[in-house]
Amino acid sequence: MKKLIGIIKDEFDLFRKESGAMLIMIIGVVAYSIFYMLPYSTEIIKEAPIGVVDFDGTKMSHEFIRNLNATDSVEVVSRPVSIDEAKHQFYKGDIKGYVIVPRNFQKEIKRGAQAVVSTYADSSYLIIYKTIYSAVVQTAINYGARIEVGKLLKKGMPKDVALTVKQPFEFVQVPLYNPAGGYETYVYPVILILILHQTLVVGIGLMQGTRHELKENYCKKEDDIPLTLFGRSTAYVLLYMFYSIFYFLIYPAIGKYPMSYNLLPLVLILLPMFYGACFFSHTISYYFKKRESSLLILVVTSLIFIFLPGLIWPKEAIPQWLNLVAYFIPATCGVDGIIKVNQMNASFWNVRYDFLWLIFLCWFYFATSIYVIKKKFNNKNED
Amino acid sequence: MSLKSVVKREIKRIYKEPLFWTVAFIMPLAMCLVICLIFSKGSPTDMPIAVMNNDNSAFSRMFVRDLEALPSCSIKYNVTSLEEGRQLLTEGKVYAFVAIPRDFQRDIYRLKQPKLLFYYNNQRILIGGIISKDVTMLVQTMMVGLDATIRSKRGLPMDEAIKQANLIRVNEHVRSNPYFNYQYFLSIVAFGHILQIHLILTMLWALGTEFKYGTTKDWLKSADNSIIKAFFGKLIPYFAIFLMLFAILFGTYFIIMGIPYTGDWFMGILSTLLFIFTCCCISIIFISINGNFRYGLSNAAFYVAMGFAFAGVTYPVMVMPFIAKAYSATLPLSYWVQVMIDQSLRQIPIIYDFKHINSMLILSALGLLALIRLKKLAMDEKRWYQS
Repeated sequence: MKKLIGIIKDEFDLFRKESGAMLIMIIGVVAYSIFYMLPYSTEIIKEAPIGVVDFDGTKMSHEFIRNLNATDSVEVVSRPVSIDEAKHQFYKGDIKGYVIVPRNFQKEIKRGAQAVVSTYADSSYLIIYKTIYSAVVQTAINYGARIEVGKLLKKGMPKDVALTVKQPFEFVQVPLYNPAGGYETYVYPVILILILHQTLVVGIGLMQGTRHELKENYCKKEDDIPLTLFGRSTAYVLLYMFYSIFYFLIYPAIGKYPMSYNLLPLVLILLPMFYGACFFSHTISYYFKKRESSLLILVVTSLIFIFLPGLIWPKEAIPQWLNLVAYFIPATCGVDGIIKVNQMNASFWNVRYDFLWLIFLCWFYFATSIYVIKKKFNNKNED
Repeated sequence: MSLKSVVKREIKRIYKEPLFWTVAFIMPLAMCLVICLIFSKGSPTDMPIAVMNNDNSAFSRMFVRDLEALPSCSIKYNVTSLEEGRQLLTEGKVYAFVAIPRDFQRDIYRLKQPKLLFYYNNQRILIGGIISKDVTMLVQTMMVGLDATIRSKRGLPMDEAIKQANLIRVNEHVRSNPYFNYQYFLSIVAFGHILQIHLILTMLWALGTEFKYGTTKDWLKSADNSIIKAFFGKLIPYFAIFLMLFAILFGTYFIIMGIPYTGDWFMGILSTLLFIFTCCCISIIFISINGNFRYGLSNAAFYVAMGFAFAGVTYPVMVMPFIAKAYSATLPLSYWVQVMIDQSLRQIPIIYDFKHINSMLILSALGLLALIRLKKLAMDEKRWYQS
C-alpha cells in the first residue's frame, strides 16, 4: 500500500513537469467543457422563422396564419407575395421554411371539401424541420377541428359529443428524459464524457511519448510492473474522479439539464471506464514513437470516437462489425452506462452489462499493457 | 526560378520524413472511409420499440400491425404492464413504448375518449424525433379514419367522408434533403472536419519543422529571401497532395457510393480549392505566434478539435451565442460545408453562395498577412531548436 502511494506521488510529480500533458489534462479538460457548452447554451430553437404566402387573403386564411403564428414553435416573420420571393428569402437564410395557403382556401373549407396547405421546410436541420412541420400540421388539425365542431354544434349536437367525434381517443405523448427536446441535454452529457475519455487517453499517450523520445524505460528492471502500471493509472483516475465532481454534479446544476444523481452506479461505471481508458492508452501508445504523433493521431480519431458509441448516429444504423470494434473502446460502454444512469434514472441493475463489459476491458487492456511494456524491455536488451 | 527550387527542396523534405504519408494522406483517407462505413447503411430503420396491447380488439390489433409496418420501428417486445415497458426504455433496449389500455376499442365507440400512451426516449432526440414523427402521423391518420368511418355510417361516400374528416390537409415538401437522409449532412461535415484538421496540421508541420530543425534561413535562401515565394513554393507540393486526397474522397463519395450532387460543380470545386488554401494560410498564423512548432501544434490542435460542433450543421449557427458565432466564423470549415450542402443537396443558385467564398478569401488574406511576422521570426536564429 505504501509502495502504491509512493508510485502515485511520483507520477504526479512527473506529470507536473510535463507541460503538454498538463495542457491537455488540466487546461483542456476545463476549457473544452466550457467551450462545448457554448453552441448549445441557447437550448431549444424557440421560434423558427418562416414565411407565409397567402394566395387567398380571406378571413379564414388570415385566421389560420394568426393561429400558426400563435404556436410557440414558429414565427411568421415575412409575408412574401409570390413563391419566387419566398424562395429568395429561403435561399438567403432569412426564413427556414415557407407555407403556401392556396386560393379558394376559405371557399373549399366552407363547402366541406378539403383545402391543401403546402409547407416547404429546410430539412438540413432535422430539429428545425420537425418543428415547422408539426406546427403547421397541428394548426391545420386544430383549426379544421374547430370549424368542424362549430358545424356539428349548429346541427344541434351536444358540445362534448361533438368534441369526442373529432377526437375519438386521447393521444398522450410522453417524451422521456429530455422533455423539452433540448439539443444540449442530448449532446452535452455525451461530449463531457468523451472529453474526459479523450483527454485521458491523449494525456497518457503524451507522457508515454515523452518516455519514448527520451529513450527511458517504463520503470526500473526490479520494479513490479503490474503495481507500477496500476499505481500510475490510479494517479490519473484520482484526478479524473475529481473532475467528475464538476462534470457530473456541478455542471448539470448550472446547465439545468435533467440529472438523476444516482451516485453509486455512476461511480461504478466511471471507475472501470477511467481505468480502462488508462490501460487502453498505455497499450496503444506503444506504437507512437514520437510525442507529437500521439497528439496528432488522437485529435484525428476523436471524431470517430464520437460516432462509434452510437449516440449521435444510432447503433442500429451502423454496420454490425463496426459496432463490435466500438465495444473495445472504453468510452462506448462508458457513455452508454453513464447516460442511462444520469439522464434516464437507471439503477445499477439496469446497467449491469455495461459494468461487466467495462471490467472485462480493464483486465484485457491491463494484460496488453503489461505485455507491451515487457516487450519494450526485451527490445531494449537486444539493442 | 526560385519558386522551383523551393518546391524541389520541399519535395526532398517530404521524402525524408517516413511518417509523412501516413499522417498527411493515409490517415485522413482511412478516417473518412470509416465515416463512410458508419453511414453506409443509410437512415436508421427498424429501431426497437415495445408494445403493450391490453385491449386485443380488432382495432388494436390493426394498430399494432400498422406500427410494425412503419419504416422507423420494429416491435421487439410485447409487454403486459406499463412498468415492464418503462423498464425496457430505461435499460436502453427500446427507444419507444406504445401502451394500448384495456377496452380501448369499446371505449372509443362509447365516446369515452380512452387514452393511448406513447413513451419515447427523447434523450436521443434524433431517434426520438424520427419515431415520434412516424407514430404521430399514424395516430392522426387513424383518428381521421375513425371520424370518416362514423361519417360514412351516416351515409356519406367514403372518399367524401375522408375529405370532410380532414378539412385542411398539409402537403409536405421537404426542401433540400428530399430523402431525409440526415447522414448526408453529417458525413459532409465529418469529412470536412477531418480534412480541416489534416490540412492545418500538415501545413503547420511543414512550416514548424523549419524552426525545429533550424533551417528557416536555408528555406528563405532557396526563395531568394522572398517570404511570398518561400510560402507558395512550400504550398505547391502539399496542395497537390491534398487535391489528390479530395479527388479520391469525392470519387468514392459521389460516384461509388452514389450520393447525389444536384448543384453546380464549378461552385463545389471552387470552394474546395479555396478551403484547402484557406486552411494552409491559417497554419501561418499559428506558427507565427512565436516560431515554436510544438506550441503552435498544441494551439492549432485545440483550435481545430472543436470544429465539428461549431460548423453549424449539427446545430444551426443562428441560435448560438456570440462567442460561439465568432469562433465558428474563424473556421474555414463553416463556409465550405455551407457551400457543399447548398450545392450538393439544396440546389441553391450559386449567387447565394458567394458570400461564403468571400469569407474564405478574407480568412486566407489574414493568414497571408501573418507572413510578415513569419519572415521576421525566420531571420531570428534564437527561434531555432526550441522544444
